[in-house]
Amino acid sequence: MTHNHSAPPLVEITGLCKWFGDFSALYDINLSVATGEKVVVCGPSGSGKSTMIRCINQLEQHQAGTIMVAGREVTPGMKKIEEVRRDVGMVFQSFNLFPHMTVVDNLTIGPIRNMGMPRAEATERAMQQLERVKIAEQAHKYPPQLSGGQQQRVAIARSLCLKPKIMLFDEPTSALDPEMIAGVLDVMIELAEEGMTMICVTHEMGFARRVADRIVFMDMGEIVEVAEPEIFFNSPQTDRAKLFLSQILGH
Amino acid sequence: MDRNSPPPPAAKKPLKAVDYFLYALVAGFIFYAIYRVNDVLVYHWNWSRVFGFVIRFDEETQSWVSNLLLQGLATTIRLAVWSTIFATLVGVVMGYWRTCENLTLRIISRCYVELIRNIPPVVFIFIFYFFVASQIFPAMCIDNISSKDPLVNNPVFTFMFGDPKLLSNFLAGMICLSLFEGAYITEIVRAGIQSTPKGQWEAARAIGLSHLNVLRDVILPQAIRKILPPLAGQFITLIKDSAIISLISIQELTFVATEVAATTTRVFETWILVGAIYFVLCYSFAVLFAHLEKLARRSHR
Amino acid sequence: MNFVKTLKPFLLAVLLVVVGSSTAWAGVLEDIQKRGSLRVGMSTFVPWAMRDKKGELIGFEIAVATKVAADIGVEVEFVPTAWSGIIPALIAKKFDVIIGGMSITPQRNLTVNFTTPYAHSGQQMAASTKLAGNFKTREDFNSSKVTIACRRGATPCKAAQNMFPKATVRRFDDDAQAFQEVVNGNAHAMISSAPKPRFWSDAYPDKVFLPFGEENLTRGDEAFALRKGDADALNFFSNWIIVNTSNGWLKETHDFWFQDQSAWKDMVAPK
Repeated sequence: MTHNHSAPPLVEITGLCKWFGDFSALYDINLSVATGEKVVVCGPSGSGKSTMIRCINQLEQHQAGTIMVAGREVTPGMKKIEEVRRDVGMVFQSFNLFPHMTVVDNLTIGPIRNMGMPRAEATERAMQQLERVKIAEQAHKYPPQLSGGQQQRVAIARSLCLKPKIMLFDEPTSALDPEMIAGVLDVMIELAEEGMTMICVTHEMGFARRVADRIVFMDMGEIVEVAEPEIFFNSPQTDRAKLFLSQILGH
Repeated sequence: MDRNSPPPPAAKKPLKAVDYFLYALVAGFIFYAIYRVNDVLVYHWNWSRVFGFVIRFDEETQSWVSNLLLQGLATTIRLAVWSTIFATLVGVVMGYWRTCENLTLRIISRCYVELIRNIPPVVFIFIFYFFVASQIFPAMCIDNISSKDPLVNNPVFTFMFGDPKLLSNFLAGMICLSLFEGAYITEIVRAGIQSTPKGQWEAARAIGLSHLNVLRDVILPQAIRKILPPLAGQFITLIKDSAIISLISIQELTFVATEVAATTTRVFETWILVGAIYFVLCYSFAVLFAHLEKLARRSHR
Repeated sequence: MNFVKTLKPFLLAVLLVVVGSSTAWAGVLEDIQKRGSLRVGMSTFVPWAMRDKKGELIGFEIAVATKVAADIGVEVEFVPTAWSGIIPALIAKKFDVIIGGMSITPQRNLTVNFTTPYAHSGQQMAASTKLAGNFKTREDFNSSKVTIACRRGATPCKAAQNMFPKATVRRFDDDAQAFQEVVNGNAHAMISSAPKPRFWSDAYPDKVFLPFGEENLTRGDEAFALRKGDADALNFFSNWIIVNTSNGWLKETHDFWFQDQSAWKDMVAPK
């Protein structure tokens, strides 16, 4: 898939640094993501993958460096953060659906509150997204009544309701039982094929091979290697990448 | 035995010697207590006098009419209900302030809670009653509302608040109790808010809800569901704590009981009866709330 | 509740300063007439004030207060108040006057004004037949082996301490409890305002007796208590008492309630 690299990148991260107290979680991160590009971020645990994407929508606040989303700079404590979050959708490892609201209400609350959309219109949009992730029949159930895989698909639909420009996935299948992972990955693959810009933190290497335009390998808070999937999996350049791949592809 | 026919349930365990011994011990203790009271204390029991103060037969109207103790009980229940309502209002606001981002609000609510939780209820009540009530109430002109005013002199008012002549007295007790119990409810609400998983905050913020909207739509509804059981328990605690209000001469059950005990000099009968009334009241509510909790849990599945 | 006791004078002092410095002056009499009712603070204390079968207040105080209000031309409103907080409640303006058999003491007089006395009761002693049956004189009771019970915070305990300094004085929240100690044989004697000891010894003739007969140990003066600073009200109430003493009404009413219980026993106990 070719991307328009002459157009400004959708997300541009320059010199990003993040400390938790004295602990350096991210150091000098530089990453550019073009519109329509799918980036998979992988690496050993504690490498800062989740922290990096959480800085993009300011769930974590960075201390140094710049983050640009759709041409607008994202700074810690900025006033109009809600507008940025309309453009950046996020799917969490633990789904984080609102258990006291029905599936439909989970989806409509964002548009109603953030975009001032009337309820009828929001509901229509919600049902469209639920169809898209193939879970429309569960619209009036409550999250605790759904299986893990179903909940994660609802979570994806919830983020899509705001019509984001880019979707961030933070280990979306790590908390799922094996038989449900495929269902969620299928939804993500379809999203990718429809042209959504995605940054995905995941261990699912099969998915990465299928969908990713670039693999970003991180270790100990730094980006170590960036390559296209075939090159990364078959001939990793750095020793750390080689070690990582031998560990996870070993089984 | 196959899949569809499980084995019969295990037989109930028979009582062992230890059990009989414990029962005998408890029974022995009770009989000994009764013997001591009757024999050594030289007390002429007279229950009918005290029962007469619960309910009496009125010659004029030829019907059973409630007397002092039942009226005191009614005041206690009114106090408990109204104080719980106001204490909950105070507690929810303060509980939110305990967890919000504004430092000043956090300090104010923390001071409120620590102040009240570290003073004995009796001392708080005296301070509140003599300082605050004597300065603030006259300013609010409550004492000047004539008890003949039709706004207050009607059956609905009396049902909800009691005798109009005792209104300022009742309000003082109610505000006192509300402020006092509010501190404990603040902590319950705070725990409810803080026990909501952080992921809920993150997801709500990630779909662009403002801080206020997150609280209103996502956090508080979940927190409130969680705090209902301890809140119900607080209501029952309030019924018991209301007995302390008798020290500032609010005409609730305990205060009326002191008058009955003094008048009839039947100290044991009065206090045993009043203890039984409190027990029945509190236990009934406890059973009711347990039942409601079970219903709520079932409907949520 | 010792810490509460030490706290109360402090609270009282601060309260006095605050109230005294902030009130604009309108006399109590004007307030009473404007409001149309006389608010009276009292405590349940047989036979000064007690509850009848119907739950209504009756007793000597009630009769006196009712007549005072009638003479002013207003209704009477009773505010039953716990005795231990009755003076602070008066100062906090919960009611206009205390008509509650309060004995005049110089200590109390520092914080409230008293009218002329309207009754003179005294402290009486009821003793245990078992423990003190052979005691004849006051000296018999003044020994370290003797226990005397009394109601806390009231004049009986003062009298007990003054008259029987060597005896152990045990305080109770309530006269009934103090009396119960004597009946149970745990205390040699109890001191309380007349005529209660006599009422009780009538109820338990074999266990309790009056060692000094009808004679009172002390003579007390009971008066109305008013907030300080209102000379007009003090003048009115004191003169009301003088008038009703001269015309015999006070004595007549006092005898009705205090001589013996037969006159009003039926009102209080069921048949």
